Amino acid sequence: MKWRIVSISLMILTLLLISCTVLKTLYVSYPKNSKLFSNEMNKLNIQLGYYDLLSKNSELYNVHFHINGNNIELKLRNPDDNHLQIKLNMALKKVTLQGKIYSYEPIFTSKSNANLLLTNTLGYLEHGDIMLIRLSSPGGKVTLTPTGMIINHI
Amino acid sequence: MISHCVIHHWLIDISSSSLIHQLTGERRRLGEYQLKLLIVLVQNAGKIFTREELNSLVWERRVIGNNSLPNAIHALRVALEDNGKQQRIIKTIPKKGYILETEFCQFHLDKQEKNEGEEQTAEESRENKSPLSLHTAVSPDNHPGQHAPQQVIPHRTQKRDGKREHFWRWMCLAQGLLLLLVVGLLAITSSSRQENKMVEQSSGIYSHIHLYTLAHSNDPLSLTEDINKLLAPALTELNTLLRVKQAEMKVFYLVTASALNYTMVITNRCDRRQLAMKIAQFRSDNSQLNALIYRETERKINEMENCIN
Repeated sequence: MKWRIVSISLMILTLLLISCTVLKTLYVSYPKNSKLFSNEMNKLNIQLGYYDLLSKNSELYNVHFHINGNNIELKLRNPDDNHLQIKLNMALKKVTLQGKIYSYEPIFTSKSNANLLLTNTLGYLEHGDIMLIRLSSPGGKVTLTPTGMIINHI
Repeated sequence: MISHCVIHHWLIDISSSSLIHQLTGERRRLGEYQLKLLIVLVQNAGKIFTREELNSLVWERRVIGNNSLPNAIHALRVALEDNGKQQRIIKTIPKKGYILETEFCQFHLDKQEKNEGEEQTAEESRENKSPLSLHTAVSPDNHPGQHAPQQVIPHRTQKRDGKREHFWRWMCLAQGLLLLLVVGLLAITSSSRQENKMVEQSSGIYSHIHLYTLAHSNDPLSLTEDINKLLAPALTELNTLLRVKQAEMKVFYLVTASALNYTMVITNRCDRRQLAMKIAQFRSDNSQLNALIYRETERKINEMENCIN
């Protein structure tokens, strides 16, 4: 009798452990309401800079965010070249324990970007989803992009 | 042959017509018909008896009152520490009758009986028509004219119980191993899923600059490198500039095999600027790297609005 009770207790404990882990993975994941981006981001005056010390090339882009629900439209504009504009769309696909996963879709490039430093990054993003990881630090909240770039939030 | 039937720690002692508690030794006497009723129920534990069946089996052809059976049942429940509400041992099945739950019914054989009766029991059990293969014998001390079972030989039941216990013991072991396996797997999974976090580096070196880097990254390409060693000349000059301009700068950086990701956030009392830099081949020329960092930071500082008191 006692073996049966112990065995059943162990089985229940095992099942509870597995259930809790599954539930935690499914539901207690990355908080859905924690917004990585909002239209407030435009107030941050974010600029992206790509540099290559060997070729001595550099590119600067001013970033404009347009948030529409789970979609983020990003406009990259080169402050030194008004003709160079890149527009891309990111749609939220999944929220995981590690971060948010977005699908990526380039919408528009004003001119051929074959000789741009940014091309590498855009090409890399086109071949998979983008996972954005929100991190806390003593210096404030930051978002880590798949390419390693870090964006600081207010 | 001496055998014992124990119900809920109460041993049926047919010779003295009483129940004896196994642990305390307390003795409770049973009436003639109460004992007979209990024996009938024990012999057929798990079987539902109608009132009529019990009346005829226990009281045979005697004329009895309507309450005789319920009273005897009640007396047995009290004696066995059961009660009418819980009915754990003797249950009333509405519109059907009564049943004695098998799980409360345990049989114990004396060693001598075990040895002697082992071979006989199989045959006897086969011959026995009772569904539970119980063997009954008339006790010489028993009340005259009554066929009361002095011994209940539960060989098969015991064997089955033994097998069952063996099974549960192994099951218990298997469950324990499974639990350990699950805990181990979860521990490995959670340790491999270390959270990334930014930590401050070179704290206290600069009065207006704070450096933060990514720690415990799962990215095998990421390196934990103190960038201050690379950028000390530029950062020292920038710290002076920031002090003059009454601004603060936070630097978040991540070193990968191919590039330095360097994000500067400059704030003063009325403005805030951020430049996220990705510097490829940053190790090729350190002076050039310092010059680039200084130049870009100075540019951002100059872009900032001048705060008016």
